[in-house]
Order: sequence, then structure tokens, then C-alpha cells
Amino acid sequence: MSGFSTAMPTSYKAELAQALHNHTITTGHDFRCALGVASPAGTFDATTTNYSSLGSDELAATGGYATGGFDFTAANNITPIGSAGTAYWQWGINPSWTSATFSTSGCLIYNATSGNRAVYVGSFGGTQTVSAGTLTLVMPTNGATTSLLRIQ
Amino acid sequence: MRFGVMTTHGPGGHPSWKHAEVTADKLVIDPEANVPDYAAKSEAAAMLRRNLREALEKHHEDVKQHALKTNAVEPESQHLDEAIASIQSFTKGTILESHYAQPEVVQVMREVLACEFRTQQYIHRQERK
Repeated sequence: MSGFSTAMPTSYKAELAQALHNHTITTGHDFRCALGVASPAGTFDATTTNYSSLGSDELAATGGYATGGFDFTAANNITPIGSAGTAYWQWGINPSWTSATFSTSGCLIYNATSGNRAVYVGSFGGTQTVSAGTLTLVMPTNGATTSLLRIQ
Repeated sequence: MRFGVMTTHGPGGHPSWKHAEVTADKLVIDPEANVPDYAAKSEAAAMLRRNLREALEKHHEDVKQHALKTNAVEPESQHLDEAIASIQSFTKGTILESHYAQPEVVQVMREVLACEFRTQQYIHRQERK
């Protein structure tokens, strides 16, 4: 079924063990968050491996959206830490778009420093629409049971 | 874990009360059902969340006004310190007081507030362009 399903890509888990992703604050890699269209033709889930998979299912570069999406910058990486058997990490800023007019149903976070490899696929649980306004993706609290990215 | 989504139609970014709701919801986590004093802690958490939604609006408004005057990227320590003091003042004398006084909890509060203030500053920087 086409659309976005929230998942940590399987390829990302394997790539972590190959040192292809560095989430260290300031000195790590540059991650970005691209938005998908409201009704994508493709399927985006744990099998998604790369930003290039998004293709024409990424929002068009109009209405306050620039191709490639929101740039977290390495300054906003949160260095991974571990607690009670779980390693967790995410970012210290919520991706936001201003002067925005679009509809979206999901996102793809990818590593712009490391071959645009997929890091996280997110579903918004339905279509989110903004009109000449601001859309913000709100990070959960960074913690062992709540972070966007966790490995147990 | 999923992203939440916050949308505001029209210019000017999100209003401070919306940022305050998001921040309060991230700062107050409902107790697990099996913890001792669950009912009392649950009630205290609900009240704290309501109080923080109101109290944090002022702090988010301060951040907004600061962001409108400057292009600062990182949150001011003063804004973070004041917000943390405000949060702790609402837990004084409640069953949650000792929890919100713990150094590791204060550190998490600081990280949550920094994330939300940084986001707000980013939005207003973009709006100024």
C-alpha cells in the first residue's frame, strides 16, 4: 500500500554498524528532513533506503518548501546516549517551514553528508495542511522510551 | 516514536500559547499505572500541565520578542533559567516537588526548553527574511 509508515529503515541499522552515520553534536553529519506529498505514489517504510527513493513524491519547491527539506545542521544533532539497555538520539530543534502553503502526509530524514542514506521515515497519521502559515514537526522528548530514534 | 505536527495558518509564526502547550506537554509525563501513589501523582501531573500551559506562555512570548529584535540562534540562558524556576515554583509543596528538583530532571527540562525556544527563534528569523 502506498504512503508513509513510521519506521527506522533496516538499512540504517546496518549502516550504523558500518560507521556510515555520525550523530555527534557539532562534529557529526548533516541530516535533513524532506516532506512528502499528501498522496504519494510510492511506499515509504522500513524498506526505504535513500532520499532518492522519494523522487516525485517529495513536495514541489513552491509554497515555502525548498527541495531537500529542512536542514538540521550538525549543531543540532543530539549525541546518542544510553540508559537501561536502550541507546537513543534525535535533534535539538523542531523542523519548521514558514510562509508555507502545502499539504503533506509524511517525511523522510536522511543523512546529507553520507550519500543521502535514509535515517527515519515518519507518518503524520493523515494529511496535514497549512495555508500561508507555519508548519512545525514537534520532536518527542529525548529519552529512552520516547526519542525519535532508539535501539534496544 | 512519531513527530507531532503543529500548524498555524497566516503569518507571524505560531502564537506563544501554542508553543507553551507543546512545551508543557513535553515537560509533564503522566506516571505509569503501577507506581506508588499513582492517583495522587496523576492528579498532580494533570494540574501541573494546566498550570504550565498558562505560565510558559509568558516565557515563550519573551523568547518571541527577543527573537524579533535579534537574529540569535541559541536560546538565552536567562530565558531558560527563568522558565525552569517558573516550572519548579508550580511543583513546590506538591508530590512532584522532589522529582522536578532532581539534577537530571532539571537537565531534561533545560534540553526540552532549549529545543522549543530554538525552534521559536528559527521561525521568527525566517519570518524576518
